[in-house]
Amino acid sequence: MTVFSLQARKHMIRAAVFGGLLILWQYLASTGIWPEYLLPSPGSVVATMVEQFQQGTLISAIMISIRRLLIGFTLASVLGFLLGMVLALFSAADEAISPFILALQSVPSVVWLPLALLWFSLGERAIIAVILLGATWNMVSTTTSGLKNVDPTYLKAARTLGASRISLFRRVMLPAAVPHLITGLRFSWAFSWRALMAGELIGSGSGLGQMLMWGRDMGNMSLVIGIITLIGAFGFISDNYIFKKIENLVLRRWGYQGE
Amino acid sequence: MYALRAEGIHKSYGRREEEKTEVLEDIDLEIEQGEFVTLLGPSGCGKSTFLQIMAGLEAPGEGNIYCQDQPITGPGQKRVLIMQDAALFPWLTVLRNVCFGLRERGEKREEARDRARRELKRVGLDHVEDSYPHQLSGGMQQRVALARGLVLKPEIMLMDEPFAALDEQTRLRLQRQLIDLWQEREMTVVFVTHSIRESLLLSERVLVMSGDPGEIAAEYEIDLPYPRRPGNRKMIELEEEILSRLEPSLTDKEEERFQARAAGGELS
Repeated sequence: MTVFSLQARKHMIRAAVFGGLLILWQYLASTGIWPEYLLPSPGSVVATMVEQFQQGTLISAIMISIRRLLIGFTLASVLGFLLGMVLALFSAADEAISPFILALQSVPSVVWLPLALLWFSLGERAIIAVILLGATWNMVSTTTSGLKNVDPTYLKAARTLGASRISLFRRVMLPAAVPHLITGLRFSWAFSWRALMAGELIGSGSGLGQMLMWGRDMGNMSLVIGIITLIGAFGFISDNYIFKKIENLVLRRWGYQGE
Repeated sequence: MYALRAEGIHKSYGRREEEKTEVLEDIDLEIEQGEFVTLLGPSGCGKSTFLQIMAGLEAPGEGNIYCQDQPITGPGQKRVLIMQDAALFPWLTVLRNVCFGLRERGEKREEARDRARRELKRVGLDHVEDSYPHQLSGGMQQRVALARGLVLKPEIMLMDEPFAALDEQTRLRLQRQLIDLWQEREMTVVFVTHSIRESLLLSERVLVMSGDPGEIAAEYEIDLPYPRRPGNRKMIELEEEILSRLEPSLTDKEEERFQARAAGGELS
């Protein structure tokens, strides 16, 4: 085993666990303890997904969901950033509002559904509203804490180098807070994805979440399991292979991690 | 003509009366233009606080502080502060770090870059202008910080234990470089340190501060030619003299505090 690097061993163990679970699943499905409509075999899940893919329904569902995700994520991040900036600049506002922000942060996105449906009725806007309500608050508090926790020696150095109030904010506080902001965006993305799925379960249209509900209504368990896997995989891949990478890049550039 | 003058500076921290700790007590001081002065004292004696007041980063509680007849009301490019932690901006390249103050002054990008390059060359770091601070050693970072301050042609350099975190060899080299830079330009240097040897190597005048609350306890004129060598006989004598001067003043204070605490019943 020593010939493999630590990294390679980690991947091998993961692959083994994954393979083991697949085999277990296949075995349980083949024993017939549960009927096919409760526990389909891995093969039939794959077959259903391939079929949906070939019909084009899966692709269009994914595209619709991603479009909503991008709109909701962008709006939530921008709004959260702006509000967070205001709170960082005016500590009186921060003291007054931050407890409410924290409370709003702990509300699960599903809870916003009835409210969004009543305000915006079934439709695109209700789903976007759920994303906003689910993802904005976290961005607010990361932005505020990022801006407030800038190393005071940077501020001192900048002030003796003649920085004005505006450039103290623009040229020192903002760039110094970038690592925090990237982490904020990463969380905002994860929250947006969850909120979107919650919103799509009830809302209209034909996103991934709605396809999941359609699978339930049709009694198509293969489709349900396939979509759930897809939702998990999308979240995992975008977080691990996109946002983590960006975050590491920024951290290295900002000197928080070695070469 | 003096560069800096302090009159009856007091400073204390803590808002409520009973929590107040006096950091500086009645400091009077005049520093000549072009002079190299060190503030020498143990940690916690208020020397850094005094430097921050001179930099304009903190206001004195009582008393007046002037820079060439003008009262100091805030930080300014005339008086640049160099800290122990180089405090380079990690998101900017070395060159853009050095440009920071020039751009703040409204200089054009190209002009600022040219001047910054010349300054980096002066401290021997023009080859790393595109590197980021974390890619440099501690000594190099401190030299970039020096260049970032010097490029503004400040009249006064305020230095807060700038070499304390460096290894011995690097420190000696930077001390020599600092003396060269000082002799080459007409600038006043106020240098804070807790090392007696460093103060003797560098300055024309040593102000010994005692702590709790901070005050200037003694003053030494060091009339030795530059460049000075650490092994110099006269310097060793002076070092011993200052040491003997510093030690009893400390133990006296400690004794006093001990007595006070005993009287307060804390030690029973």
